[in-house]
Amino acid sequence: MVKIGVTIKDAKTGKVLSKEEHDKRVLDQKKKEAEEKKREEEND
Amino acid sequence: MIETPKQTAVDRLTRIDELLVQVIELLKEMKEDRSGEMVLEELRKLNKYKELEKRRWERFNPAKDDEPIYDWTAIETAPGEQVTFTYPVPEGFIFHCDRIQINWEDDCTYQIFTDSEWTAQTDEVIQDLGDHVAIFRPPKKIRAQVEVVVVNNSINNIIFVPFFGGFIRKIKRPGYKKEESEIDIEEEE
Repeated sequence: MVKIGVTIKDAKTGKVLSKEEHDKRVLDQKKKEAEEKKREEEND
Repeated sequence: MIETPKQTAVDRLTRIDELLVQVIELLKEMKEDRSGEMVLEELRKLNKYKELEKRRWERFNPAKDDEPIYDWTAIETAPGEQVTFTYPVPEGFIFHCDRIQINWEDDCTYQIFTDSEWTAQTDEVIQDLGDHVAIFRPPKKIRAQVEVVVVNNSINNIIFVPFFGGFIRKIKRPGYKKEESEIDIEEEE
């Protein structure tokens, strides 16, 4: 089976992101979404 | 055991099933993630196309030496990230790419490059056969690589799951004598 290559960049700057940088972005976004959800629940 | 074209078609379908099960299992692990759930739903829809695929392969009857390609990968992306999925064609082969399938997400942009040439772009060549499944049909045989470039312009994380479907065939050398089965297939085409 051929290995599919994956390259991740910042769409604005075009800078290639390392695995650590990418993982941090995904995790930060998850935290942000969780906080927003919590805030919405509290408001309800 | 001699492999007949029909058996090859059945093998391909079995492989599609196995891959879909793998993807669905993988995404079940992400069930708390909303975008993961969306992708899971799209993958369930892919099963609907299985019968269409079966009839297509039976009609096509690929040569016995062809190697079927039904490969996929999955990656979660954050907003503002651009992902390039690269499918490299093994040396000495041509990739007859039937389709590239990827989950369709609003606010995201898609581009396809075959052998480093721009081939398709969002809103131009995408055939949205499912509610949220985008299917690209590259117009030519691929010798080096095919790239899918996706930009997550959403405000949420999105999991992209591209499928690469078709088969690879060995490049014929000068003086190569075709087998009878291959001649029959070319005449049918």
